[in-house]
Amino acid sequence: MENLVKKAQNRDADAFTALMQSQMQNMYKASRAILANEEDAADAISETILTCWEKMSQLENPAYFRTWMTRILINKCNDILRKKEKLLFTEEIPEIPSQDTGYANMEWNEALKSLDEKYRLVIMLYYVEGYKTSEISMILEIPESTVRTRLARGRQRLAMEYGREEDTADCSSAACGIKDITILENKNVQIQRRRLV
Amino acid sequence: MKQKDTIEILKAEIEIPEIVQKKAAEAFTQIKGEKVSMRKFESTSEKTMNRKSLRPFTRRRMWPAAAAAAVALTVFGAGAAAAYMQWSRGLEEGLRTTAEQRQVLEDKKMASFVGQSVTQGDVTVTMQQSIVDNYFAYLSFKVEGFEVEDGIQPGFSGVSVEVEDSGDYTGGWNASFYDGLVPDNDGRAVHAADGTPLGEGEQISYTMEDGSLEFQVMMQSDRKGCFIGKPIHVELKDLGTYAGKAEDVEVAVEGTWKFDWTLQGSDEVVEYELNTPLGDSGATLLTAELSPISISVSYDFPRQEETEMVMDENGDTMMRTMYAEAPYFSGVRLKDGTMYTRLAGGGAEGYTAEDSDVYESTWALRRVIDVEQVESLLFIKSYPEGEQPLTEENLYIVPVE
Repeated sequence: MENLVKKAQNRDADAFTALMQSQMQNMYKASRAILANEEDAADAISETILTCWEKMSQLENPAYFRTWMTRILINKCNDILRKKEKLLFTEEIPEIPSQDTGYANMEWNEALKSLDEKYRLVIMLYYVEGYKTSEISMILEIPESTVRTRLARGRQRLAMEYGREEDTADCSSAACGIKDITILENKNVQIQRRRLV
Repeated sequence: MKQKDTIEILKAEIEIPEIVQKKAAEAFTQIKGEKVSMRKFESTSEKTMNRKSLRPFTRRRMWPAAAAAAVALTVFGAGAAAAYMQWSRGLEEGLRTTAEQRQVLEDKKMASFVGQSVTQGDVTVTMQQSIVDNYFAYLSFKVEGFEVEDGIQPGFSGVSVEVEDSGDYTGGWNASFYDGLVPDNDGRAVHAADGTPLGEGEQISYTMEDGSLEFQVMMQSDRKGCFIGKPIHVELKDLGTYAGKAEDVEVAVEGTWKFDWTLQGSDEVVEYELNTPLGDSGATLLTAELSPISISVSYDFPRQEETEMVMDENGDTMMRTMYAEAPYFSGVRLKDGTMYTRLAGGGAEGYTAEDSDVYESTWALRRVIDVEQVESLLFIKSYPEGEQPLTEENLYIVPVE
């Protein structure tokens, strides 16, 4: 990859295209961890491609290309969220619009929705894209301890979801308590979602 | 769905939706210059749509020319303009010019002064000076009424450059505030004013002695002579600073500073017919055109395929085949023995046509040179270990006389 990065830094458009195409899965998955629909993800990715091309010369170390690119992508996603928030500030916001097309990604979309929004991005970056917690800290500009906390809570939440689905028929009082917390926090997430979408 | 299953499903390769592929393809097309698309300053006005709009280092095809539209400007009278009939500090020291070289560039009309000012809020921006040859154009804008502390980088949130009547060409530009630093002969950052290296932890200063800032634009074209004598329109939008790691400018002064003028310049070059093989690289240097600020060379370079291993996002490896690049232009050796080995600034290179073995390379020079004093051209044969300087062992040396 570093060869492609160096060529792209020398304004080799073909190398840059090959480089970014090799990152499409990563970019799409990360953008969907933030944005609710494909069209917004498409906009964020398109803007990221153009921005990376403009700013390739500012990347000092080719080894950090993926981290750098992901930071740009997340900034673009957040820009889109902010614009939507301004547009829809006083309107009644619907639930997450389901604009995903095709059967092919249905399972993946379901898995994505099963993650709480608050922890979705760090889980995606850590487990799916393979970043270290220190790299995620740099990408999201949050302390590494916060990354670790979100990862742990995200894992816990997934475990609780699993427990809720598996144990509804016969749960102990302790398990029921956890489920209550889950439901309460899910309501909070709903509120946040309505504000952001 | 179990926790592990969820993670595994998310890790699995998925189908990239059509809308994502389509928009990505449009971005790649824009980058490769196969389609014109305004981005930073989208406008549907006929005036703008008929202009040639340049994007930083993008390659794009341009539309036919249209008549220039009048834009309200403050243009200095003869007396006031005289105050700006002096070289911008950024171009004077950034290109490491001597007084004699500056006079030569002025005499050739390669360097010219504009003195056009626009004020928005408390900030006055003056289009001060340009240097234009066949392939490159430097523009320098003086920014007054805006202060930044040392270590803080100023920036405009949007920059638009449009050159009219330039025919069908590809090109690009980049722009930034001048920071007083230039690369030395070994590629290390040094202060342009006195050649001292940038100290560890030293805060970079963008402020001139008189408190002003200088914003520089460098434009490049693949087509010879496409800037000289052409009307140009520049818009600088919303002035501010880059805060921390933020990618976008934090705007401090809102406004758009617009400039219209006609680029002067000189197409004067020294041409060489060389027909010199570059060692065992497979490339034969055919011609070279040298101006005080740029070089354009052509090679005969039969295509050599290079296959390399690349890694995709899942860590899987795959093979990719590309063409080898001709030896890079590195610099010049002067008749007095002075070697400038890292002279190539921004540039472009590649085959002239899909079915041609002629390979062209055009580079801006990092410093103004006296073309009559050039004894040899230097091309990279190999790179030394680490940060060692380039020596003759690393170079193909091609005498021009």
